[in-house]
Amino acid sequence: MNCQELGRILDEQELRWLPAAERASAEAHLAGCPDCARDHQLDLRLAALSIPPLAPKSLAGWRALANSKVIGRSGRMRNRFIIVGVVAALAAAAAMPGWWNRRALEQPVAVLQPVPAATSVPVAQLPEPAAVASQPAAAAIRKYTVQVRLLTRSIDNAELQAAIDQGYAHFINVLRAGPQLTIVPAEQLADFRVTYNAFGPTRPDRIRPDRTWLAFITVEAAERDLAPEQVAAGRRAAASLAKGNFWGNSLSEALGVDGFAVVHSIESSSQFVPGCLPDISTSQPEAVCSFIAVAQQQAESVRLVGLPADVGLEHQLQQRVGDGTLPWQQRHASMQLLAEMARKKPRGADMDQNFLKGALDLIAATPDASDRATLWSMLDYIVRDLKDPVRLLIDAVPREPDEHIRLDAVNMLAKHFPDDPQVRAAMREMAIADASDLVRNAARQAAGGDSEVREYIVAIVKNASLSPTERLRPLAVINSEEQLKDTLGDESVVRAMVEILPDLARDTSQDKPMMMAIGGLGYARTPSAVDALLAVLRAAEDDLADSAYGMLYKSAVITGLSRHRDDPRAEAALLKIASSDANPTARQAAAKVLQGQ
Amino acid sequence: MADANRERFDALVTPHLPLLHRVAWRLVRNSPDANDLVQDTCIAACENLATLAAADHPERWLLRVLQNRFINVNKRRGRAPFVPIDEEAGAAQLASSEPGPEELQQRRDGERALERAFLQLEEAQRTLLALRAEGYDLTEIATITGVGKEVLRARLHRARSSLARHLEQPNDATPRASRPRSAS
Repeated sequence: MNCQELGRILDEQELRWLPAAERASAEAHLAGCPDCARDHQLDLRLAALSIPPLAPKSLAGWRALANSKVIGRSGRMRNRFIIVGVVAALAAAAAMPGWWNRRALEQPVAVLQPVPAATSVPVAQLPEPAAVASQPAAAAIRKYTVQVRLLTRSIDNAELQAAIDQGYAHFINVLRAGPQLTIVPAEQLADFRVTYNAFGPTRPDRIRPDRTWLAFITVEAAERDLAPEQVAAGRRAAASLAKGNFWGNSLSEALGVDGFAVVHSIESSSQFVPGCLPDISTSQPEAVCSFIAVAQQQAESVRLVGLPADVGLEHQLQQRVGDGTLPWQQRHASMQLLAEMARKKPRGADMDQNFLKGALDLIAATPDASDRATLWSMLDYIVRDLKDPVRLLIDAVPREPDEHIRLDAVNMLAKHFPDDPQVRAAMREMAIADASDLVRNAARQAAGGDSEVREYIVAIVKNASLSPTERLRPLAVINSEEQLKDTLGDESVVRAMVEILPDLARDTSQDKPMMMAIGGLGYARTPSAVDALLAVLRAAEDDLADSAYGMLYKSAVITGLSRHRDDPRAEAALLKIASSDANPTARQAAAKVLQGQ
Repeated sequence: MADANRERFDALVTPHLPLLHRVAWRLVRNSPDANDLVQDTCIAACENLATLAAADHPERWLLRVLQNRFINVNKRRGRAPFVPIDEEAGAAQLASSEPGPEELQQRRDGERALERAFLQLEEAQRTLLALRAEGYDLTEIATITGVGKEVLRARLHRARSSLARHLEQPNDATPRASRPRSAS
C-alpha cells in the first residue's frame, strides 16, 4: 500500500471497513510513513478536541426564534443573545473567614438571555400577598476597602469614549454607595480590587463585528482573606484569563501576581450606535439605550456577588422585581441579579414582603413559556432558603399554564419544602385536580405517595396497548436517581424497555425520557438491562446513524454498558465500538471504559 | 402561525441543533461565536422553512448555511476569531478543584496549540476538517459544500499539511487574515 492509496482510505475514513489483511497493511504503512501517520494523527486529534455540551438555554433560545416576531421584519434579528453577568465566580463557602464567609463555590455560568416573544400580557391575577415570614437580618459587616482602576484600551472614537467614561463614572458612583465600602487609590493596600477594562471599535481584532464595545470587569479579593483552595481557584482563573485568550494581554499585567485572587467577573458587550450604547441582552433595547443602565447592572452585580453582603441593594432589587410600573426587562434583570446572588451565597437580607408577590406577578405577566421557565428557575434559587414556603408560592404553581413548567414548579416545592404541611396539602389537591397526568403524579409523589407513583409508572410502561412515547412518558415524573433505580429494578419494566426503546429512539423529540431510561439501565441490576442497552445501541447504529441523537444515545449506552462489564455481552459491545465504530469519539469513549479510565 | 412555525422548526431544525452546535464549535472554537453561527443558521432556517421542508437532507442544507455564514462572517471580519476563555468548558474546568492547575494547564496546552494552529487555516480548510472530524466522508462533504470530491481531496491534503506546519511553527502566530492572502 502506498501513500496515495492510504490517503484515499483516510479521506473516506474507510480504515474500519477494510478486511483484516488490508487493514494490517494500512497500519503497517502508517507505522513506517511519518507523513501519513502525521495526517492520521491530526485527524484523530481534531476529532478528539473537546466540545462543550449544548446548553439547554441556548437550545431553548434558538427554538424560541421560530416564534419571534422580529424575524422577517426589517432585516434580521441578530445576536440578540449576549453573555452577561458571571464568567467565573470562584469563592468557596465554608473556609472563608470573617465577614464575607458565606459564599458558595460555584461553577461559572454563562447566562444566555432568551428573547421574549411579545409584550407583557397578564396571564393571571394573583391575590394580595399574605404575610411573608421574615428572615434573620444579615450579620453586620465591617468596613472594607476597594481599589478601583479603569483600563481603557484603544478607544479612540470620541463619542464611544465619552459614553464609556460616563458609564464608568456611574459605575463608580453605584459602587461607592456600597455599605461599609471605601474606595482607595490603586497604590494603597485594599481588601478587594475591581478592574474595569473597556474596548472600543478601534481594536476590531478584540471585538466581534456585531459587538463594537466590550467591558470586562473582574473582582479580586486579597488572598490573605481567602482559604487556600480559594486562592488556588482564583489563581487558576487568573492564569486562564492571562494565557491565550481574548483578554489575556490586557489582564496578565493585572491579575494573579500580587496577592489578589479572582472571585467574580462580568462581561458586557453590544453594538455602539452613535448616541446610544444599547444593552442587547434583553428584548427591549430601546428601554435601556444607555450605557448608564448597563453600568448600573454591572456595578450592582459587583456589589451583590463579588463584595460582602449588601442588604440595602438586595432590598432595592426585590422592590424593582415587584414594581409593575417598571419595564419587564428591568424587573427581569433585577430578578436575574438576585438569582445570581442566591446561587453563590445564602440570602443576606430579609425578604421584602412584596418581593415574592412581585416575582410571581412578573412570571404571570410573561407570556412566553421559555421566559417563564427561566424565571421559575431563578425563583428556585431565591426561595430555597425560605423557612416558610409562603401561601402565594404554593398558590401560583397550579396557575402556571405550561405543563412542563408546572411540573418543574411542583418538583421545586417538593425539593425545598418536603415536609411542609401546606405544600403537602396543595400537592394532594394537585394530584387529583391537575389537568396533566404528569403533574398529577409528580404532585402525588410530592405528597408522599412514592409507592403509588411507582406502581403507576410501572403499569404504564408495561401497557403494550399504548404507544412507545406514551409508555415512557411517566418517567418524566421521576426526580431522583434513587427513584429511577427503584423503578428500573423491576425486571418486567426493563423487559418492556427492550420493546419500547428502539422504537422511541426514532422519535428524537423524546430525547429526555430516552436519556433518562438509558441512564437508569446502567444502574438496573436485572438480567434484561444489557438487552435493553444493546437494543438502543442497535437503533442508534441502524436508524440514527446520520443523526446527532445517534451519537448522543450511543454515548449514554457506552456509559451504561460500563456499569455492566461483568456481562460478557456488554464487554463485547464495548470492544466492538472501541475497535470499529465509525465515530472516533465513540471509539475513544469505549476504549477509555475498557482501559478502566 | 407562530405555533405552526414552531412545529415546523421543531420538526426540521431542532433535531439537528446538537450537530450544528458541534460543527460550529469545531469551526470557531469558542462559545459566543459558535452560538452566533448556530443562531444565524436558525434564523436562515426560520426564513426558509418551506425550502428546508423540501430539501432531501435538511441536515446538509443546514450545514451548508452554517458553512456559508461562517465563511461570510470571517471574510467581513478579516481575521481569525479570537479564542476567549470558554464559559462552558474552559472556565468550568479551570474553576474545578480537580485536576490540579499544572496538570490541567498542560492538558489544555496541547489542545490549545492545536486550536491555534487550526484557527490559522483558511475558512474552507477549517470547514473541511471540521466536517471530517464529525465523521462526514468526502462524498457527503461534497454535497454540503458544493465542491467536487477530487477538489476536496486536494484541499484536505493541503489543510493537513498547513495544520502540521502551523503546529510545528508555533511562533508563526500571526492571524491568517492579517497576512497577504494567497491567490487561491
